[in-house]
Amino acid sequence: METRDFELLKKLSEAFAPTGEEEALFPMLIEEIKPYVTKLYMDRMGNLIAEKGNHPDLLFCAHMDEVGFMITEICEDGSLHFDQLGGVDPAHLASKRVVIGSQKLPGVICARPVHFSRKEKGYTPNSYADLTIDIGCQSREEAEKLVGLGDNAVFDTEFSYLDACESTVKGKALDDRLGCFYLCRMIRDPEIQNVVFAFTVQEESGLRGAHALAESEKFSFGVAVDSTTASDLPQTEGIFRVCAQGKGGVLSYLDGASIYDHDLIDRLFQKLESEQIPIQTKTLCAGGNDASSLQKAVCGAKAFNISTPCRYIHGSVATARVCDLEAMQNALSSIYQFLNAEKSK
Amino acid sequence: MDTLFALQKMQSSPCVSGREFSLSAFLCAEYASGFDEAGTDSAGNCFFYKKGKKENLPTVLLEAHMDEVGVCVKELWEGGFVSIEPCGGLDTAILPGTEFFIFGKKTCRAIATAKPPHLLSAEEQKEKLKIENIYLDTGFKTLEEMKEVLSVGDVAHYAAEPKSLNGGFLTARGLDNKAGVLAVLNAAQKISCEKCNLLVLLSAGEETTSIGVKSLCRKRKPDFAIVVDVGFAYGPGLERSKCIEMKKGPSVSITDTLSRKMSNWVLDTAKEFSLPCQVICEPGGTGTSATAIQVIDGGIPSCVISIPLKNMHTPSEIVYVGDIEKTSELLIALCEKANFEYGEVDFLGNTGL
Repeated sequence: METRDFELLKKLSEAFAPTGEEEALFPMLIEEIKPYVTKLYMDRMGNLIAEKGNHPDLLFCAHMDEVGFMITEICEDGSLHFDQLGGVDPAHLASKRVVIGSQKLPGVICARPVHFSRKEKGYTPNSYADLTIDIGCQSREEAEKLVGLGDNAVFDTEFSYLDACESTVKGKALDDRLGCFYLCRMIRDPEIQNVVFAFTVQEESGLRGAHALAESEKFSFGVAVDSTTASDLPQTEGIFRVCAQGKGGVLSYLDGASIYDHDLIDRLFQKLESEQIPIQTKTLCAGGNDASSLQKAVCGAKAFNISTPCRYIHGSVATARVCDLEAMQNALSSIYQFLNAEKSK
Repeated sequence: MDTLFALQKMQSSPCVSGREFSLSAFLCAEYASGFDEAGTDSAGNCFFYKKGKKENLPTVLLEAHMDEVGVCVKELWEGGFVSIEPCGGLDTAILPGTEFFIFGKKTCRAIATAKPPHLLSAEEQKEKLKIENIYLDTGFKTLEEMKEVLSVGDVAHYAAEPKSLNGGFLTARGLDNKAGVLAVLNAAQKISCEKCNLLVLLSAGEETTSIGVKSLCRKRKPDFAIVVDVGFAYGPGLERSKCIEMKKGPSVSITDTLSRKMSNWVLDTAKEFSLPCQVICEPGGTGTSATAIQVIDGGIPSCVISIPLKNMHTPSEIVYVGDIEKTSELLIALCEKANFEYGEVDFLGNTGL
């Protein structure tokens, strides 16, 4: 990966932007794309919308927000009760590092040690009620000087290459900072004109930013660029692998929230395969993405989704293959050409 | 007007979620004075509008839902029994022995009933009562007699008169969200409209579909919305982090699904006017009208202000009258400032977005 791109992705991945509090990404994105756009604004929902050209009819969106936590109670002993923002499985959270608030106050998620697990009752996974965040405070008064009720937290994870060959990256919030990253590069690309790019909010809270966007913007085609679960792990067989890393972007025919235009997806596959751009579909229909909200646009848009195959999304650290990032970027350029041709039909 | 008296007047009109027409007609007639516009619509809403004292002022929506939970008649049985379907979220555990009014051709009394505990099998005792196993006993001797008055689709709500308790507390059915309606109406009459146009919406269908806010907000497009509802007051067996406290004024919700900036604005304004305002954290959403309003038409920034309430969705909800009054004062303060920056932000400095 070029250093400039690596640095951009690192900055995006490490930013503090849990769902409902996405402002931290604004200065980074604006700095990156401002020279290339004709219109750049935040709507009343908080979505960042960038236009290239006049009256664009194509929309590409990626969500800015990531999963995280909200502090819901500051306890007598200085520990913090918290709950999830978006979906994070509490079973594996004990001992994970977090940072709280845009000031990035460090904390550790604590639970009772494994030695004290209730053997007689069998194993019960931790729920949020069993977990607290320790920020090193001994009393409520002390803790209240550092955090407030309703402050948010995200995983404290460094973005870097995973392997010495630099073929895989690891970091938090690859869902969906990868999408933001592709959109930034599309905006830089002089070949791509007359497009609206939307960086949406509150995807993890129920596809809400894209919902508000779809009620106000007019477009004929909408593409939600997101990340999806690659479950290509040992001892996982058949459809349960969902999709695999190293095989390019994932175009789905349906998921937990949408059914897409079968014919359109078929023709996209044909085009991408004819151009030797790696592309795959997925074999389990779970979850949803912003395409579901785009499909319900007041103007009646055709919407679909293309995602990067990531492992371990919604956890403290996810991975993506560099070759998939390139395949995704190429697929998006190709999809842009395809939709332009489709429009003039 | 005395809170208890106002509540008694309001509660003489039934308003089970989805059937709010008689209450919306009553409210529209009773509270129209002082507004430039008063109306009802086909969704069942009642709304009022007061124009601001200047041009180009933002339109602030003050919303409280007027509907309450209840049940709907599903089937008529021999022996004067009817089976029911909930309208909104009811706790089946409290139903046996609870009295109802069914709104048929005439208003009928009824008592909810289920198999007595003595007769339940050991297995049945472990399970939560299902709504299918609960009947309303209307006392009619025959099916024919009952059919003269009642039919499938009639709605019913708890039969429970509002009553004052010791120390400024009040108990009644449907205080979720008549407490909010009272707070909004009291405030609206005192708001000067120097800084905003005021749109008041007493909405229909919040307990079931949010149909009221969805239709009216798309039509009237307010610039930002203040939703007034009730919140869980802390009591035995409850989690502190999910509750607010009685006698400490209203709360504002901090949540990922609404405008955080607006929640902060509410807190700042409360501080400026020395008004009490608690904080409740609701990751994942607030379960109020604001959820629907926030995402309408490019976003209508919304916040939720809650009045602490005990025994939610039961015949004997409890509020502290002082909390309703403090809520009104906060609403007035917010509307007199109306300085929340709600608009689109242009990062290129172009005009005419």
